[in-house]
Amino acid sequence: MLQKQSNKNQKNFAGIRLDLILSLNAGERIQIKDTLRFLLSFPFLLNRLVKSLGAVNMRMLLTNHAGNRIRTYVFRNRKTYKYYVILRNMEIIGKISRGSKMDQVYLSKNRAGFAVGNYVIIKPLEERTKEIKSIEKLYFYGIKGIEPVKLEIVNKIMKIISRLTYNYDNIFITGSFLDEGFQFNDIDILILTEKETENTLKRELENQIGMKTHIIFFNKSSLKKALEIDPIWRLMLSRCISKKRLLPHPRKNIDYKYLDAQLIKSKALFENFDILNGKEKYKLIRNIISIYLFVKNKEISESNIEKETKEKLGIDSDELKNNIVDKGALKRYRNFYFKMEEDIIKNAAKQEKTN
Amino acid sequence: MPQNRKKLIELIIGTLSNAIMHEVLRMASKNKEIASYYKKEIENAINVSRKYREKINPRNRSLSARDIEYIRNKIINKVKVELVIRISKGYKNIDLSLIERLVDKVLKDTNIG
Repeated sequence: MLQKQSNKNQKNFAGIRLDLILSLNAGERIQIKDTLRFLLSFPFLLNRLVKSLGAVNMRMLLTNHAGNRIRTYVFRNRKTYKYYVILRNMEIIGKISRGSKMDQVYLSKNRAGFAVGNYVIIKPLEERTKEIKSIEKLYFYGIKGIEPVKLEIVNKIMKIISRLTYNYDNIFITGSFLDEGFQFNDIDILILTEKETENTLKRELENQIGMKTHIIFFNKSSLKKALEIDPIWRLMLSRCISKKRLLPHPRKNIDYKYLDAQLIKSKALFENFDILNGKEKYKLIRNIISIYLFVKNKEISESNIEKETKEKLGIDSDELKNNIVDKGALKRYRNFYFKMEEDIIKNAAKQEKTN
Repeated sequence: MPQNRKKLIELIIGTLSNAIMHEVLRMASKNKEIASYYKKEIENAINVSRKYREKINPRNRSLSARDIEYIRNKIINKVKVELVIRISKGYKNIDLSLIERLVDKVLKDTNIG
């Protein structure tokens, strides 16, 4: 009977992690991790365990796969107190859509919590229409997956910017923050607005999220122009999270003189090869390859850049980021750079004559 | 060591020349307002130069007048040569008078001059 009840209980708490922290008389703490799941339905057994270990109190934490705490039990003087903590960010508001055999609610793959296998409650939200309107879903471009903790940061950033920038048209989060892992220097935020907000926004953001930010303001016409002439902005927006849907990119307009100015940045690679770290080298190669793709009328995306880097320079992007590049690759890079420079100067001169 | 010192000065010259060339070409482009969004990238070149500068003595004071003069002239000449090549190929609107002003500014920013 006991076994049956225990199994039933385990089923109800599938996907939940149970941690026990026991504080003993001597001031020591014992931590028992996720081993006594079956005790969830027998609080008196837990009390007995506390007593037998001579613990003065015991804290039991229940967390889901994303690490969000969902329930806490505290045992003091053999009495049990139970607290339920339901976090706001563990709610997802969805819409029921019609299916052929069954109707469904879709969950975005990029979400905090709600791991596959979790049991959830679905109930109507008629009274909360105002709240539903204020919660907008985000748009992901070129992102296969993102860590839940980063998604929470993104949500927080969007909220702060929405509060402090009244007339924005869109907000984009882009750059190395969206790369896998946590090796980013700052968070690149691009705000599309006709009116720039003063420095308070940067200060407020950095105070609240505790990370460095790099905020760039664009108005509609300057963003359009940037996407027309600049491969790096095309690349930046090929992989981003935006508050509102991103409009299709405008047609390319190659300004060779402008590209010449941008290409010079990549010259630093062979001049400062020994002092640059892997990430800096990657950025300089990314710059030249994106210019190459732009001029050759090819799609500019992170995967295409990695492919071309391999093809043209024989450099693997992961090795480059880890700063494992041999001097032979440097020679290939130098030749590639000067060939590109020559072509661009020639075309820029031609363009000047026709203008 | 003297060899290292010489090499570091050459690296500073290379890095700052590129940053100044970028700036002059940017000013000559009809799309200069778009390039101004790259402030972070130009700062990076100055930061790299600062890294080199920190390795050269005296660290906390500006370099000797002789060194400053050498670096200044080398950068100006290097940028001028590159830009003159471009002008000879047909580039227009390149303002060579900008070079000296920009060189003095970056030398100050990098604690060289």
